[in-house]
Amino acid sequence: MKLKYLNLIALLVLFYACEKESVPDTESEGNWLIPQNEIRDGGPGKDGIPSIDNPEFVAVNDIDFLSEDDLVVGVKVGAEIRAYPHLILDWHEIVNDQLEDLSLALNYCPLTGTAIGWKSKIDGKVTTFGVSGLLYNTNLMPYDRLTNSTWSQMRLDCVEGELQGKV
Amino acid sequence: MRTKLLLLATLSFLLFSYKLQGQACCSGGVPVSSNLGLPVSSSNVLQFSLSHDFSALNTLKTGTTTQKSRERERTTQSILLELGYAFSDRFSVDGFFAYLQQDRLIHFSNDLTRTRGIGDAVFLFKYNLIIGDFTNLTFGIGPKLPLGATDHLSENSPIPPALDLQSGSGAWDGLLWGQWSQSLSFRPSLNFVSTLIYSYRGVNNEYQCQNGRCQTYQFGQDVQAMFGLSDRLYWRKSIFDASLLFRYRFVAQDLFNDAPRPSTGGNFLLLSPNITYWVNPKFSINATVELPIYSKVRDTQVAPTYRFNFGIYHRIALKENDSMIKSQ
Repeated sequence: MKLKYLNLIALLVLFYACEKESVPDTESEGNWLIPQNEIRDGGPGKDGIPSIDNPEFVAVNDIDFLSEDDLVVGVKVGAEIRAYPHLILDWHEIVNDQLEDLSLALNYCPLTGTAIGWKSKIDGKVTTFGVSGLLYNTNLMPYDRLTNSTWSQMRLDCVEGELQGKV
Repeated sequence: MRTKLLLLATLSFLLFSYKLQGQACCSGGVPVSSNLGLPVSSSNVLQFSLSHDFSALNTLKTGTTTQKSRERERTTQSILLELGYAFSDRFSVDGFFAYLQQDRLIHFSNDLTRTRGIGDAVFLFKYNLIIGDFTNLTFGIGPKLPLGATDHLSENSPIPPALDLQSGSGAWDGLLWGQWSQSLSFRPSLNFVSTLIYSYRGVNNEYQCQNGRCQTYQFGQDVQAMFGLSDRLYWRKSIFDASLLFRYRFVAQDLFNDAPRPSTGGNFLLLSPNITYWVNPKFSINATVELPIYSKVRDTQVAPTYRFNFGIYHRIALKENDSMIKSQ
């Protein structure tokens, strides 16, 4: 009989100990330019979808993994022309690239089918962008690795963090 | 005295292991379904099982191909409590309760998303259809109650993590469970054991509500079949039960607003050795390891890498006619 009580007491202690360490379910005081309750966790987590940094390119004639109908996102800076295949962007969503003097973050959202390239020099400092894992209206939200601020692809601005409001 | 010391030592280990904060599927679905079903017992016996379960999904797969990346880790640690009571030799009920810690770690950014909380509870009403000297057949049916929360926050973000990182599913599920065991006449302790579990996953109709409008989310339907053998071994005047089980699991795709959600669902074949040490006829300590043999996931997902379970089992006869019919 004593063993029964010992079991129950130990059990209560065990669950109580676990509960005390639980994360409080309180609302955060987060400061966002967009309604916080409209932002969703997409599932993979921050950088769970890895960006491509400093990609390697091959000449068009050497490509053997794309068909004529495959979509690409084209970028032209000066005399330099580059194509970023959807086939690769579907897996990585963001490419941090350098075209001549331009630091470019090409971000692509497979859910909304939108691709936008933006300069990745902020206040004179070059940064790279990663996939935050968050979605706003089912659209990609990149983050910059310089300040960890969160951006909205469709709004073209920073919606949370140190650079909030930057376009 | 030895039993009490072992009980305390085991509980201490369970507490300590929980606080190890180890890194991380899905509202406790894996640990719950993997441990469901207490042994068949005679009437008026109360059974009690407490265990710590650690499930790691670190293997990134596309279909059957293992990707090189080890950037993503998903682990689920659970404290699992199962209580069972046999009203008669044929009717019994099991209650299954869980406390979960789920982690999602991305090594590249060292980003850890962690949630903790009480998970959904399962009740299984069992009927022993065949109680024989060599053959036993038991069926069970029961609900999974959505007791777990679906709005836990991680410490590092004000945005609630995705539903598969929440301790609750927000939906009522239904379970069908069946177990068959057959022992051999020349060695009655050697059992062939087979278990089937079908989990009907209900719909969470209050997912991501906003301005009075909600989305719906339904985890994939789940079928599991386990088959293997167990035997009783004697070593240095001690009694051990050892078992080796194969577990096949099919999980259909999750449905988000009735549309299949990418990167969910798959087929898995796992191998699960277990060892149980009987301290006395009513108290045992057990350890189980589960390793994947084959995984085929839909799209790209993190797949099971290993699972470890360590726990204790205790049975209490509320009346004097206590005799165990079969070990698990």
